Amino acid sequence: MPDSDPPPIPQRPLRAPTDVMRLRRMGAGFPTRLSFLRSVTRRLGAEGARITRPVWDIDTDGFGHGVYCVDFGGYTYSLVAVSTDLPPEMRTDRVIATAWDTSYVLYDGVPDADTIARICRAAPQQEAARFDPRDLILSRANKSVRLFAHVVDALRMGQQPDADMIRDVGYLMRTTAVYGNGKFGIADRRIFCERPGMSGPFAAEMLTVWLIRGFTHDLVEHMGGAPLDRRLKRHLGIGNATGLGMAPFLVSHPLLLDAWMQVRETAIARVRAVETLTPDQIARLYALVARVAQHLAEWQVPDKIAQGRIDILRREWPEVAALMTPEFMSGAVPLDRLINKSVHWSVDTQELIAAMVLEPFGDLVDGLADCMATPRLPVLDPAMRCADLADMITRDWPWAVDADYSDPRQCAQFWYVSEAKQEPRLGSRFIEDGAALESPLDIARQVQALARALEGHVGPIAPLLAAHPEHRAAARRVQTVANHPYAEIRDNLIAKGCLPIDMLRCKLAFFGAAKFDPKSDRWTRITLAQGAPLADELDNADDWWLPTFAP
Amino acid sequence: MMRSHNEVQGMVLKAARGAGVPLGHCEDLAAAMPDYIALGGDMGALVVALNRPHQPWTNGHGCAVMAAPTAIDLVRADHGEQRIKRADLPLLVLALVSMANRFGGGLACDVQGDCVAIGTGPGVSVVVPGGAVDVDGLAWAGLTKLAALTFVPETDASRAAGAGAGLSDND
Repeated sequence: MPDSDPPPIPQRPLRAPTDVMRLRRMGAGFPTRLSFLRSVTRRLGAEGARITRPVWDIDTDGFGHGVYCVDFGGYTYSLVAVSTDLPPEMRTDRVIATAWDTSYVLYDGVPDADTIARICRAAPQQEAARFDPRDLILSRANKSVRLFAHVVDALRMGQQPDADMIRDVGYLMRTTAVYGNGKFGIADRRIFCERPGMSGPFAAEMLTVWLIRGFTHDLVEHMGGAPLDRRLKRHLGIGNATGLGMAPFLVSHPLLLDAWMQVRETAIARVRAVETLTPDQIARLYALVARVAQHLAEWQVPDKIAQGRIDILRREWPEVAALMTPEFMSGAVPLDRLINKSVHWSVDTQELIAAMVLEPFGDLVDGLADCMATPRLPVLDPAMRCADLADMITRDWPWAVDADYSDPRQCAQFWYVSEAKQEPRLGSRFIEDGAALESPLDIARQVQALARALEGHVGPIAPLLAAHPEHRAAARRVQTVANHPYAEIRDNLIAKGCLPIDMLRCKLAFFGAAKFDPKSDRWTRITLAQGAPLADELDNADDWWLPTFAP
Repeated sequence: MMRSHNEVQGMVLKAARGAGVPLGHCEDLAAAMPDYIALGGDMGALVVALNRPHQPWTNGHGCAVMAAPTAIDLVRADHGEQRIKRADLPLLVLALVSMANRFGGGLACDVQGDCVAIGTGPGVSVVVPGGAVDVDGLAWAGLTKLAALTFVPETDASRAAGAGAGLSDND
C-alpha cells in the first residue's frame, strides 16, 4: 500500500499583496525566524558544525591575517580575514571607498599557503582585484572606531568594556559590501547553491557575515590581551552600512521577491490558523512580548522620522501586551484574532506582531525556508490574448495605470547608475541632469504605457510585441504578477514620495537585520548577528530573535 | 580574462541597454548567455551585432538580438515556423531557443548557414557548464564601452546627493 501524503498544514488566507507589497509596509519589516542569517545559524547548530582557526598571523597592533574553517553540509568553507592599517581620512562606508580596515574571502575548501597569500594580496583591493572561482564571497568591513578602540583599551587595562557603550553601538565593525554570485570573478552561486546548507538565499553571504563577527571578537581579544565577557561578546554583532545599491535588486529579481514574501506570508497564515495555544506557547509569547518591549527601549536612533516611528511602537506595545490577556490567549484562534486586531495600530506595530507570532512555531514554519530560493526566471507567454493581458493590468495594476506621469510629483525622481564606480543613485528629474539615461525602475510607468498600447488590439500579444518590442519587459512583468502576486512592489518608484530606505529595510529584514538606523532616506546602518550564538554556542543556536541586552 | 557567468550576463544586459536594445530583449539576451557560451559563441561577434541598429523584426533582416526573441514568440503564439534569413549571429538564435526551452520547451531550431528556422518540435537545449568563462579582452572592452552609455557622469551635486554622502564614518 503506497504511503499517503501527510495532511496539509491548515492555514488562513494570506495577507493581500495589495497591502503587503506597499513600500511603507515593506519598510516596516522586522527579522523573523525565517530570515536568512537565522536559517544559517539554525542549520549550523543542527549539524553541530565546528569552527576552527588554523591560521592566526596577527601582530600586536591587530594587523595581519587569520583563517577560520567550518565544516558545513559535507563541505569545508574557510574565511580568510585580512586586517590592514587604514588612515582615518580613508575610512568611508560608501561604495566609492578604495581601502578598508579589514577584508575577507569565503573560500571553498581549506586554502593552502599560496592561496592564503593570493587572497591576502587581492582581498584588500576588493573591486580592483580579480578573484578565483573557489572564492565564494568577497567582503570588507570598517571598524566602529569609538567602540573598537574602547574595547581594546579596556581589555588592556584588565577591565571589561563599558556595557552601555556596547549596548548602544552593538558591533565592532561594519561591513560595507558583501559580494556574491560571480562578482569580480568569484564563484557563480549556481556552482554551490545545491549543497546542503547553501541553498537558501544569501546563505553563503550570511555564513560569511557570521564568521566575520567572530573574527572581530578574536581581534579585540588578541589586541587587548584578555578575553571579553561572554555576555558582552554575544551582544556584539556585525554592523552594516547599506545604500541604494541594494534597492534595485528587489525590482530585478521579481520571482525571488515573490518567494521571500510568499514564504513569510504563508508562515503567518499557518500560525493564524492555530486553533488553541498550549500553556507553554502562551508563556513563550509573553516572554517575547517582554523582549520586544526591552528591544524597543534599547533601540534609539538619531534620525527624527525613524525615532518617531520607534516612539509610536513604544507607545503602542503596552496596548498589545494589555490585549494579550490569559483569556484572550486561551480562546479560539488567538493569533488570528491578534493580527486582526492589530490593524488598529501603526503599520510598524502590525509588522512587529506578525514577526513575533512566528517565533514559537518552528515546527510549522521552519521548513518553508527551503522555498525561499528559486532558480526560475520570469517567462513571457506570447500566446496570451491582448484582452487577457489588459484584464490582468486592470486587476493587478490600478495603482500604476491610474497615475498621471506628466504630473511632476509622479515622476520627480529617476534612478541611474553613476559613472563613478557604477554606483546606483536616485536623482531629481527636474533639477539634475541624466534622466535620459535613467535605469528602468519606472515599472509603473512602463505598465501604463503597455496598457495604452494594448487598447484596440485583439489576438495574441506576440504580433504586438513584434511591432512594439519596447513593451516586452512590461508584458512579462504583468504576466509574472498574475501568478506570483508578491513579485512586484506596488508603488511608483519614481514618485516624489518614494523612499528607497523602505526597499532597503525590506531586504535587510529578510537577511535578519535589526536595529535599523537610517542616516537618510537612501542609506541605513543596521546590525546583524547581534545576540546570535558564538562559535562555541551553536548547540543553543535559535533563540535570538530581536536581541536585547539582558542584565 | 576569466569571467563568471553572472559577470558576463550582467555586462551583456548593460551593454545591450547601452546599445539601445529594448529592455525585454536585453533580459532575454542576458539570460541566454550561458547557452551562447556553451555553444562556443563569439563574444566579439556579439559586440559587433550589438553595435548595429536595432529595429523591430519584420522578416526583412537578420539581427539576431531583435529577431530571435520575436520569432520565438510568434512560434509559441501558433504563428507557424519562423525563418530568420541572413542572421548575423545564428549561434545566438540557437542560444536563445535553447534558453527558451529551459523554461518552456517545445522549440526546434534548424541552422543552415546564416538562415535559421524556428518551429515546434523536439526542444533543442544545450548543457550549460559551471565554472568561469574565458572572455576575450577586446570583446569585454567593447561590452564595457556600450554599458558605459547607460552611466550618468558624476557631478559634485550628484556625488553630494549619493547615499552616505557628507557623513563621518570615523565613528
